Amino acid sequence: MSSCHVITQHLPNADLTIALAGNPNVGKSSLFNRLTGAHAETANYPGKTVALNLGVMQFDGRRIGVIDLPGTYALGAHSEDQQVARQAVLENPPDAIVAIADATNLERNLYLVLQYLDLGLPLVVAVNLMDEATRAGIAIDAARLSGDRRAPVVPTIATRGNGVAELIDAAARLPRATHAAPEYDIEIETAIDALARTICATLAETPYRLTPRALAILLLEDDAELTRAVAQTSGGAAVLARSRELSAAIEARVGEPLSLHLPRARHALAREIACHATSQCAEREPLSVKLWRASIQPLTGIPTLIGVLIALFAFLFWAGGTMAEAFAGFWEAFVSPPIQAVVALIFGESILGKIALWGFDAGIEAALEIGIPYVLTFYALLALLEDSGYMNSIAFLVDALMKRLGLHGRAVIMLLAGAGCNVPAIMGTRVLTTRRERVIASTLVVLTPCSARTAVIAGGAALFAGWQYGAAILLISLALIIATGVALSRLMPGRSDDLVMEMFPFRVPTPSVVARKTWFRFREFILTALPIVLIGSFVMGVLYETGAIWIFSAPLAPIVEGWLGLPAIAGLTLIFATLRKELALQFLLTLALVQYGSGADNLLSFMTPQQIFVYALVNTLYIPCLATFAVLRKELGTRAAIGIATFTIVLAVVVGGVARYALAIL
Amino acid sequence: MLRFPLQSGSPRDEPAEMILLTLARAEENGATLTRDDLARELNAASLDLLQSLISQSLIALNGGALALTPAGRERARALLRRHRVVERHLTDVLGFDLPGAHVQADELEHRVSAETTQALAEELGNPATCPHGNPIPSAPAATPLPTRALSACAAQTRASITRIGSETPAALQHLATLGLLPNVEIEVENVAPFGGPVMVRVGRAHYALGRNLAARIWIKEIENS
Repeated sequence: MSSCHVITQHLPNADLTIALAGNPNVGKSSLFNRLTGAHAETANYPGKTVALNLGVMQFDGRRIGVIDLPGTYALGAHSEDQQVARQAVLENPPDAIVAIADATNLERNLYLVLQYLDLGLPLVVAVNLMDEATRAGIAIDAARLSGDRRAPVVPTIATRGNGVAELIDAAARLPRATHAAPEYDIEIETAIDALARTICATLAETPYRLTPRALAILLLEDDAELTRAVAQTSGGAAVLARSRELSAAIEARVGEPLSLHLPRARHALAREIACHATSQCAEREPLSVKLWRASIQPLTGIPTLIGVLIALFAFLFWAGGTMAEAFAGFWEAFVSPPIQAVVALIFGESILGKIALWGFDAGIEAALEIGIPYVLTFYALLALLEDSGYMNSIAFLVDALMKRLGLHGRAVIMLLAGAGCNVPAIMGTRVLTTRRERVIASTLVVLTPCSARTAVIAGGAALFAGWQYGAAILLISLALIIATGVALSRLMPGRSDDLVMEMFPFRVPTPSVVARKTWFRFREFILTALPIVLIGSFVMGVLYETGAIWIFSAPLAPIVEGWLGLPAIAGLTLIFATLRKELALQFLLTLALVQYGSGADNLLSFMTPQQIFVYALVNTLYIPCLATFAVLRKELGTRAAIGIATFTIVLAVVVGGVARYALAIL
Repeated sequence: MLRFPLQSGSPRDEPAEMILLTLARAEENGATLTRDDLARELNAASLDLLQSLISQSLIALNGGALALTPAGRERARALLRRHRVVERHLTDVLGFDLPGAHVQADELEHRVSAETTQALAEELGNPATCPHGNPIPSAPAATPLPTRALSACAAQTRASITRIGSETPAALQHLATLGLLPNVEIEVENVAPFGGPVMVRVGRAHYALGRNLAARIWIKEIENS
């Protein structure tokens, strides 16, 4: 499939397409949500995780396709966000680019705007967050910013919809208008002109049909992709030789290559334009900035961080537990009876009917009972942390710790997401740049107790054996995550990338952005987990209803009974919990009823608190579930997936045994 | 008895020259190396040469740390100059890409004579930096060493970037797009504890930079007026 189709197949019959471009955290998503409402979807280029949001809006009787590009600082190819934004614009040039700039930091935001203008694309600038600028005492003169023949400029407050209609109106008129390209100093302009002339004279066709000037700028900046592309065309070698010659001539005078000198000139131009259009009435520091500063000062920031994390998990357990209970009641009263009736109608009282109920009734209920209360709540909290900007403060404070684990501060997001569900967290590691970091991060995510395992810890160990046992399991997991990270970062060859992260003051999160982010992550969880949970439930149903499950009891005895000191049936549930981890506990009670009779509806009737502790600990540590294994295999390859799985199984058995004997001594 | 005359152009000197180069690069980045560090960076067998280089007074051993003597530094700078001039020639004249040029220059630095290096440099217009942006030591005079690493700055320091000592051009270009370039004014606003990142302000933008990266950014403090 040609990747060009990614955009066109999602936006058929659009009269016009516009692309929203801009730095991260400038309100791009708010604007996109406001323009397209609920009619939006995501699309991925083959092999890329960073998604494009696509939607359609009606304006003035026209269908306008809207593409929300990933937020980036520049048009390079440094990270996957940049690659995706660039590919979308180059392969399928939109009719207009709406460049969203942060009014409180025009200078830095204009850099990207100038890069788009260098490409020769029709563009309108939205100066967004005007309300925040006003609060900070900054006034912006849109007419001055637009200048004589530059792109149109519209001040906006996207969260409230101010200026949005004017913006789209300006964008819709754009294709007929033309504006001048940015002008750099005479030396650079001479080099660009000279190279553009060579390109005109030499190349029959430019890559992506770029204008000669746009291509000249990219080549002089040493753009890796276009240098490769030009090298493959006939006459390309001559163009590249000319580019090097011009670049060397400038470097001899200014002392740095054009690949650095041109960005410097662009920053200077951005500063000049921004200064010309901005006036700082008074230097005011709004409350949000003061709070933000406090959140990264070690003395105030670290206690706050600990408090926030405790509050986060406390809320998760309280809200998740309450909702799970309500959901179970709802399912039992309204959903389960019709399903049972339909199954009885088709299969009667046969064994097939019982197996069908394992899947369609208990299976779906289990997936949703974990999914909706815990995963959905967790992702909503995570989106709040990200959208408010507090996530960056966390990354800043924990970078030193994460570095010792072979990762940088931003990877903490994946570990936190892993506490919701490992599957999307492992997918999220794709934004890390090296394989080394991805392997380390994925391994640590697998060791992070997800909400399914936490449910077993809370509902098994903490409920039956005592809260201190539950807390001990969480602490042991944390210690093992740290130890594993430290060991991996020492043992694995290579080194990890350093943190380079923008820090920005807090913003009030936009509900629609938080809701959309939560929904997309949740949908990913359901789509990945539900099929495997269903299949797993049927397999368990077959094994249980046919009695085949007891066959596995004897071979496991040396490890389960001998080393871990657990009843044989506990070992069986550990094996089959890889299909449905969260059901380990329920499964244990079910088998206990079969094995020990009706008195065994309490774990304590056939297991000591110590045994329950060892059981929940082993259940927490070994390879979480088939869905996680499947996603590990997809992301890192079969060998790495088997390696990580084997590691966690060995770790679980060793730590479980050690815990058993340690408790015996205590 | 083994002798290491260290005259340019003889491939036999390669292991000894690698030791000098490794120490010179570390010195440029403000790091000191121990014997163990060197063993990790280079083939362990070449460590046998270390004693010989120490006895030739090219390297001094201060406590556990290895340091170049003035004579050793002069020798190492000549090697760095050869490596970087050759890289320039490979990329600018012969059209090599940067990684390719680096690999070739690693070979050629031990074989190119001082005269050839000088001729190449002159033909290239005596460039100031290699294609990766590192300074090319000039033939006779010494390049002033940068003052301080960003990682060593306290909060509230105002400074100007003098040099970014990263070897990969992609990383340099990425920093350039963020406005982190030589001769740019920055302010250190916050330093995370326990070896965490440094937060700098460039214009109105704030960036958190990992401590290892900050150690490769060299700055000159600006006096508060």
